[in-house]
Amino acid sequence: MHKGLWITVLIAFALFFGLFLLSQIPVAITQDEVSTAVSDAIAETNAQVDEVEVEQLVAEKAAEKLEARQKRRLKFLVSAYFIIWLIFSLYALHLAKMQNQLHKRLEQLHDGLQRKE
Amino acid sequence: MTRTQLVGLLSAIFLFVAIYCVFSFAEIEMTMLEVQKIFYFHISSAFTLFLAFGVTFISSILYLIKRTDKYDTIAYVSTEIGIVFGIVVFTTGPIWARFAWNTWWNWEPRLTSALIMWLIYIGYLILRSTLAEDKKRVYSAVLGILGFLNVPIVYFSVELWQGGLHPDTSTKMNLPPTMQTAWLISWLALTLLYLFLLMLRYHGEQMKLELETLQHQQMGEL
Repeated sequence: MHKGLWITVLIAFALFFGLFLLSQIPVAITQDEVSTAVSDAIAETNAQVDEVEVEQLVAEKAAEKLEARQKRRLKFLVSAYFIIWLIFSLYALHLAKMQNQLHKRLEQLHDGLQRKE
Repeated sequence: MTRTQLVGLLSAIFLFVAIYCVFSFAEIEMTMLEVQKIFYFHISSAFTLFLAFGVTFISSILYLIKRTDKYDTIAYVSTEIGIVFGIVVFTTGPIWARFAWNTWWNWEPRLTSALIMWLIYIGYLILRSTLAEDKKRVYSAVLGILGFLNVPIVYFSVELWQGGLHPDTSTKMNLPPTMQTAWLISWLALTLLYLFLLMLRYHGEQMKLELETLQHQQMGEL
Protein backbone atom coordinates (compact mmCIF):
# COMPACT_ATOMS: atom_id res chain seq x y z
CA MET A 1 0.00 0.00 0.00
CA HIS A 2 1.18 3.55 -0.69
CA LYS A 3 2.91 5.27 2.27
CA GLY A 4 0.56 8.28 2.18
CA LEU A 5 -2.43 5.95 2.37
CA TRP A 6 -0.92 4.20 5.38
CA ILE A 7 -0.46 7.54 7.13
CA THR A 8 -4.06 8.57 6.30
CA VAL A 9 -5.42 5.26 7.62
CA LEU A 10 -3.32 5.59 10.79
CA ILE A 11 -4.40 9.21 11.38
CA ALA A 12 -8.08 8.30 10.82
CA PHE A 13 -7.75 5.36 13.20
CA ALA A 14 -6.01 7.53 15.82
CA LEU A 15 -8.74 10.17 15.47
CA PHE A 16 -11.59 7.70 15.95
CA PHE A 17 -9.74 5.97 18.77
CA GLY A 18 -9.20 9.33 20.46
CA LEU A 19 -12.87 10.28 20.05
CA PHE A 20 -13.91 6.91 21.44
CA LEU A 21 -11.68 7.37 24.47
CA LEU A 22 -12.96 10.88 25.04
CA SER A 23 -16.49 9.51 25.11
CA GLN A 24 -15.33 7.05 27.78
CA ILE A 25 -14.34 9.76 30.28
CA PRO A 26 -16.63 9.36 33.26
CA VAL A 27 -18.45 12.42 34.52
CA ALA A 28 -16.77 13.30 37.77
CA ILE A 29 -18.38 15.88 40.02
CA THR A 30 -17.13 16.61 43.52
CA GLN A 31 -19.15 17.88 46.46
CA ASP A 32 -17.25 21.19 46.29
CA GLU A 33 -18.18 21.60 42.61
CA VAL A 34 -21.88 21.05 43.39
CA SER A 35 -21.81 23.44 46.38
CA THR A 36 -20.06 26.16 44.35
CA ALA A 37 -22.48 25.75 41.45
CA VAL A 38 -25.52 25.85 43.77
CA SER A 39 -24.32 28.92 45.68
CA ASP A 40 -23.44 30.69 42.39
CA ALA A 41 -26.89 29.84 41.04
CA ILE A 42 -28.61 31.12 44.22
CA ALA A 43 -26.67 34.37 44.02
CA GLU A 44 -27.66 34.87 40.36
CA THR A 45 -31.35 33.92 40.72
CA ASN A 46 -33.68 36.91 41.13
CA ALA A 47 -37.02 35.10 40.91
CA GLN A 48 -39.69 36.45 43.29
CA VAL A 49 -41.91 33.38 43.38
CA ASP A 50 -42.76 30.58 45.75
CA GLU A 51 -40.08 28.31 47.23
CA VAL A 52 -40.79 25.30 45.02
CA GLU A 53 -40.31 27.38 41.92
CA VAL A 54 -37.16 28.95 43.37
CA GLU A 55 -35.75 25.51 44.14
CA GLN A 56 -36.51 24.33 40.62
CA LEU A 57 -34.88 27.41 39.08
CA VAL A 58 -31.85 27.00 41.31
CA ALA A 59 -31.54 23.33 40.37
CA GLU A 60 -31.77 24.16 36.64
CA LYS A 61 -29.23 26.94 36.97
CA ALA A 62 -26.90 24.69 39.01
CA ALA A 63 -27.11 21.96 36.35
CA GLU A 64 -26.27 24.53 33.67
CA LYS A 65 -23.30 25.73 35.69
CA LEU A 66 -22.01 22.19 36.22
CA GLU A 67 -22.31 21.47 32.53
CA ALA A 68 -20.52 24.70 31.64
CA ARG A 69 -17.69 23.91 34.04
CA GLN A 70 -17.23 20.45 32.62
CA LYS A 71 -17.30 21.81 29.07
CA ARG A 72 -14.56 24.26 30.03
CA ARG A 73 -12.42 21.48 31.54
CA LEU A 74 -12.85 19.27 28.48
CA LYS A 75 -11.96 22.19 26.22
CA PHE A 76 -8.58 22.47 27.96
CA LEU A 77 -8.01 18.71 27.86
CA VAL A 78 -8.90 18.31 24.18
CA SER A 79 -6.81 21.36 23.18
CA ALA A 80 -3.74 19.96 24.95
CA TYR A 81 -4.05 16.50 23.40
CA PHE A 82 -4.82 17.93 19.98
CA ILE A 83 -1.65 20.03 20.12
CA ILE A 84 0.48 17.09 21.29
CA TRP A 85 -0.56 14.93 18.34
CA LEU A 86 -0.40 17.81 15.91
CA ILE A 87 3.24 18.53 16.83
CA PHE A 88 4.32 14.89 16.62
CA SER A 89 2.39 14.30 13.39
CA LEU A 90 3.83 17.39 11.71
CA TYR A 91 7.36 16.44 12.72
CA ALA A 92 6.88 12.83 11.55
CA LEU A 93 5.44 14.02 8.22
CA HIS A 94 8.34 16.46 7.82
CA LEU A 95 10.81 13.59 8.40
CA ALA A 96 8.97 11.30 5.98
CA LYS A 97 8.96 14.01 3.29
CA MET A 98 12.66 14.73 3.81
CA GLN A 99 13.54 11.01 3.63
CA ASN A 100 11.54 10.58 0.42
CA GLN A 101 13.28 13.53 -1.25
CA LEU A 102 16.71 12.24 -0.20
CA HIS A 103 15.86 8.77 -1.41
CA LYS A 104 14.75 10.10 -4.82
CA ARG A 105 17.90 12.22 -5.23
CA LEU A 106 20.10 9.29 -4.24
CA GLU A 107 18.42 7.05 -6.80
CA GLN A 108 18.85 9.72 -9.51
CA LEU A 109 22.55 10.07 -8.69
CA HIS A 110 23.09 6.31 -8.65
CA ASP A 111 21.35 6.01 -12.03
CA GLY A 112 23.44 8.87 -13.43
CA LEU A 113 26.68 7.28 -12.25
CA GLN A 114 25.70 3.85 -13.59
CA ARG A 115 24.88 5.29 -17.01
CA LYS A 116 28.31 6.95 -17.17
CA GLU A 117 30.02 3.68 -16.31
CA MET B 1 11.02 -5.63 9.10
CA THR B 2 13.92 -3.30 9.91
CA ARG B 3 14.93 -2.30 13.45
CA THR B 4 13.58 1.24 12.90
CA GLN B 5 10.21 -0.10 11.72
CA LEU B 6 10.05 -2.44 14.73
CA VAL B 7 10.69 0.42 17.15
CA GLY B 8 8.13 2.53 15.26
CA LEU B 9 5.52 -0.20 15.56
CA LEU B 10 6.29 -0.69 19.27
CA SER B 11 6.02 3.04 19.94
CA ALA B 12 2.66 3.19 18.11
CA ILE B 13 1.31 0.25 20.16
CA PHE B 14 2.55 1.76 23.42
CA LEU B 15 1.09 5.16 22.52
CA PHE B 16 -2.35 3.61 22.06
CA VAL B 17 -1.99 1.65 25.31
CA ALA B 18 -0.86 4.85 27.05
CA ILE B 19 -3.87 6.82 25.77
CA TYR B 20 -6.17 4.02 26.86
CA CYS B 21 -4.58 3.97 30.35
CA VAL B 22 -4.75 7.76 30.68
CA PHE B 23 -8.42 8.02 29.74
CA SER B 24 -9.93 4.75 30.92
CA PHE B 25 -7.65 3.20 33.54
CA ALA B 26 -6.21 6.08 35.60
CA GLU B 27 -8.56 7.46 38.22
CA ILE B 28 -9.76 11.05 38.07
CA GLU B 29 -7.86 13.51 40.25
CA MET B 30 -10.36 15.30 42.48
CA THR B 31 -8.95 18.86 42.43
CA MET B 32 -8.54 19.50 38.72
CA LEU B 33 -10.76 16.64 37.49
CA GLU B 34 -10.35 15.85 33.74
CA VAL B 35 -7.79 18.61 33.11
CA GLN B 36 -5.24 16.76 35.25
CA LYS B 37 -4.99 14.20 32.42
CA ILE B 38 -2.71 16.67 30.60
CA PHE B 39 -0.14 15.72 33.26
CA TYR B 40 0.63 12.29 31.75
CA PHE B 41 1.94 13.50 28.42
CA HIS B 42 3.22 16.87 29.67
CA ILE B 43 5.50 15.34 32.32
CA SER B 44 6.47 12.38 30.12
CA SER B 45 7.46 14.81 27.33
CA ALA B 46 9.59 16.75 29.82
CA PHE B 47 11.34 13.55 30.95
CA THR B 48 11.92 12.48 27.33
CA LEU B 49 13.33 15.96 26.68
CA PHE B 50 15.83 15.39 29.52
CA LEU B 51 16.70 12.01 27.99
CA ALA B 52 17.24 13.57 24.56
CA PHE B 53 19.55 16.24 25.97
CA GLY B 54 21.28 13.52 28.03
CA VAL B 55 22.01 11.63 24.80
CA THR B 56 23.35 14.89 23.29
CA PHE B 57 25.60 15.31 26.36
CA ILE B 58 27.04 11.77 26.19
CA SER B 59 27.45 11.83 22.40
CA SER B 60 29.18 15.21 22.57
CA ILE B 61 31.67 13.88 25.14
CA LEU B 62 32.28 10.78 22.99
CA TYR B 63 32.78 12.96 19.91
CA LEU B 64 35.38 15.11 21.68
CA ILE B 65 37.22 11.98 22.84
CA LYS B 66 37.00 9.83 19.69
CA ARG B 67 36.39 12.47 16.98
CA THR B 68 34.00 10.10 15.16
CA ASP B 69 31.33 11.80 13.05
CA LYS B 70 28.72 9.25 14.16
CA TYR B 71 28.63 10.74 17.68
CA ASP B 72 28.32 14.26 16.35
CA THR B 73 25.36 13.20 14.19
CA ILE B 74 23.66 11.47 17.14
CA ALA B 75 24.15 14.58 19.30
CA TYR B 76 22.71 16.80 16.57
CA VAL B 77 19.62 14.71 15.81
CA SER B 78 18.95 14.10 19.51
CA THR B 79 19.01 17.86 20.15
CA GLU B 80 16.56 18.45 17.30
CA ILE B 81 14.13 15.82 18.64
CA GLY B 82 14.59 17.17 22.19
CA ILE B 83 13.52 20.58 20.93
CA VAL B 84 10.37 19.03 19.41
CA PHE B 85 9.55 17.47 22.78
CA GLY B 86 10.26 20.90 24.28
CA ILE B 87 7.60 22.42 22.01
CA VAL B 88 5.13 19.84 23.37
CA VAL B 89 6.09 20.75 26.96
CA PHE B 90 5.84 24.49 26.32
CA THR B 91 2.43 24.29 24.65
CA THR B 92 0.69 21.81 26.95
CA GLY B 93 2.14 23.50 30.05
CA PRO B 94 0.48 26.90 29.47
CA ILE B 95 -2.87 25.21 28.67
CA TRP B 96 -2.72 23.42 32.01
CA ALA B 97 -1.42 26.55 33.76
CA ARG B 98 -4.30 28.63 32.40
CA PHE B 99 -6.73 26.28 34.11
CA ALA B 100 -4.78 25.58 37.30
CA TRP B 101 -3.13 28.97 37.99
CA ASN B 102 -5.38 31.19 35.87
CA THR B 103 -2.41 32.40 33.83
CA TRP B 104 -0.71 31.18 30.64
CA TRP B 105 2.80 31.86 31.89
CA ASN B 106 4.52 32.70 35.14
CA TRP B 107 8.18 33.60 35.62
CA GLU B 108 8.59 31.05 38.40
CA PRO B 109 11.81 28.99 38.83
CA ARG B 110 10.80 25.78 36.97
CA LEU B 111 9.32 27.54 33.94
CA THR B 112 12.09 30.13 33.68
CA SER B 113 14.95 27.61 34.01
CA ALA B 114 13.25 25.22 31.53
CA LEU B 115 12.85 28.03 29.00
CA ILE B 116 16.53 28.99 29.39
CA MET B 117 17.54 25.35 28.85
CA TRP B 118 15.37 25.09 25.73
CA LEU B 119 16.80 28.33 24.32
CA ILE B 120 20.36 27.07 24.90
CA TYR B 121 19.60 24.08 22.68
CA ILE B 122 17.96 26.33 20.07
CA GLY B 123 21.29 28.17 20.20
CA TYR B 124 23.01 24.83 19.58
CA LEU B 125 21.12 24.42 16.29
CA ILE B 126 21.78 28.04 15.28
CA LEU B 127 25.48 27.57 16.05
CA ARG B 128 25.64 24.49 13.83
CA SER B 129 23.94 26.23 10.94
CA THR B 130 26.20 29.29 11.03
CA LEU B 131 29.68 27.83 11.64
CA ALA B 132 32.00 26.34 9.05
CA GLU B 133 32.08 22.54 8.69
CA ASP B 134 35.40 22.06 10.53
CA LYS B 135 34.48 24.23 13.50
CA LYS B 136 30.82 23.38 13.98
CA ARG B 137 31.32 19.85 15.30
CA VAL B 138 33.73 20.81 18.09
CA TYR B 139 31.91 24.01 19.10
CA SER B 140 28.50 22.37 19.15
CA ALA B 141 29.89 19.42 21.17
CA VAL B 142 31.14 21.89 23.77
CA LEU B 143 27.74 23.60 23.86
CA GLY B 144 26.03 20.20 24.04
CA ILE B 145 28.04 19.44 27.19
CA LEU B 146 27.61 22.87 28.79
CA GLY B 147 23.90 22.99 27.98
CA PHE B 148 23.27 19.77 29.87
CA LEU B 149 24.47 21.39 33.10
CA ASN B 150 21.12 23.17 33.05
CA VAL B 151 19.10 19.93 33.20
CA PRO B 152 19.63 19.18 36.94
CA ILE B 153 18.98 22.87 37.64
CA VAL B 154 15.60 22.62 35.89
CA TYR B 155 14.75 19.35 37.66
CA PHE B 156 15.62 20.59 41.15
CA SER B 157 14.57 24.22 40.60
CA VAL B 158 11.52 23.84 42.85
CA GLU B 159 13.71 22.70 45.74
CA LEU B 160 16.50 25.20 44.94
CA TRP B 161 14.27 28.28 44.79
CA GLN B 162 11.31 28.15 47.10
CA GLY B 163 8.04 29.84 46.23
CA GLY B 164 7.42 28.36 42.78
CA LEU B 165 4.05 27.20 41.51
CA HIS B 166 5.16 23.71 40.44
CA PRO B 167 4.96 20.88 43.00
CA ASP B 168 8.27 19.38 44.21
CA THR B 169 9.96 16.35 42.61
CA SER B 170 8.56 13.82 45.11
CA THR B 171 4.92 14.44 44.04
CA LYS B 172 5.13 11.94 41.18
CA MET B 173 6.07 9.17 43.63
CA ASN B 174 3.03 9.84 45.81
CA LEU B 175 0.44 9.33 43.05
CA PRO B 176 -2.24 6.63 43.39
CA PRO B 177 -1.18 3.34 41.71
CA THR B 178 -3.46 3.71 38.66
CA MET B 179 -2.16 7.21 37.94
CA GLN B 180 1.44 6.09 38.44
CA THR B 181 0.97 3.15 36.04
CA ALA B 182 -0.60 5.41 33.38
CA TRP B 183 2.24 7.91 33.79
CA LEU B 184 4.96 5.25 33.51
CA ILE B 185 3.35 3.73 30.39
CA SER B 186 3.06 7.20 28.81
CA TRP B 187 6.71 7.83 29.58
CA LEU B 188 7.73 4.49 28.07
CA ALA B 189 5.63 5.21 24.96
CA LEU B 190 7.23 8.63 24.46
CA THR B 191 10.70 7.19 25.08
CA LEU B 192 10.05 4.63 22.32
CA LEU B 193 8.75 7.42 20.08
CA TYR B 194 11.95 9.37 20.78
CA LEU B 195 14.04 6.31 19.91
CA PHE B 196 12.09 5.80 16.68
CA LEU B 197 12.49 9.45 15.64
CA LEU B 198 16.20 9.32 16.56
CA MET B 199 16.77 6.25 14.34
CA LEU B 200 14.74 7.76 11.50
CA ARG B 201 16.54 11.10 11.71
CA TYR B 202 19.97 9.43 12.01
CA HIS B 203 19.23 7.39 8.90
CA GLY B 204 18.26 10.63 7.13
CA GLU B 205 21.59 12.22 8.06
CA GLN B 206 23.46 9.14 6.77
CA MET B 207 21.57 9.47 3.48
CA LYS B 208 22.54 13.15 3.27
CA LEU B 209 26.18 12.18 3.78
CA GLU B 210 25.97 9.53 1.07
CA LEU B 211 24.35 12.06 -1.26
CA GLU B 212 27.13 14.58 -0.66
CA THR B 213 29.79 11.91 -1.32
CA LEU B 214 28.11 10.88 -4.57
CA GLN B 215 27.77 14.53 -5.67
CA HIS B 216 31.50 15.08 -5.02
CA GLN B 217 32.23 11.91 -6.96
CA GLN B 218 30.12 13.10 -9.86
CA MET B 219 31.71 16.56 -9.83
CA GLY B 220 35.16 14.97 -9.78
CA GLU B 221 34.35 13.00 -12.88
CA LEU B 222 33.19 16.09 -14.79
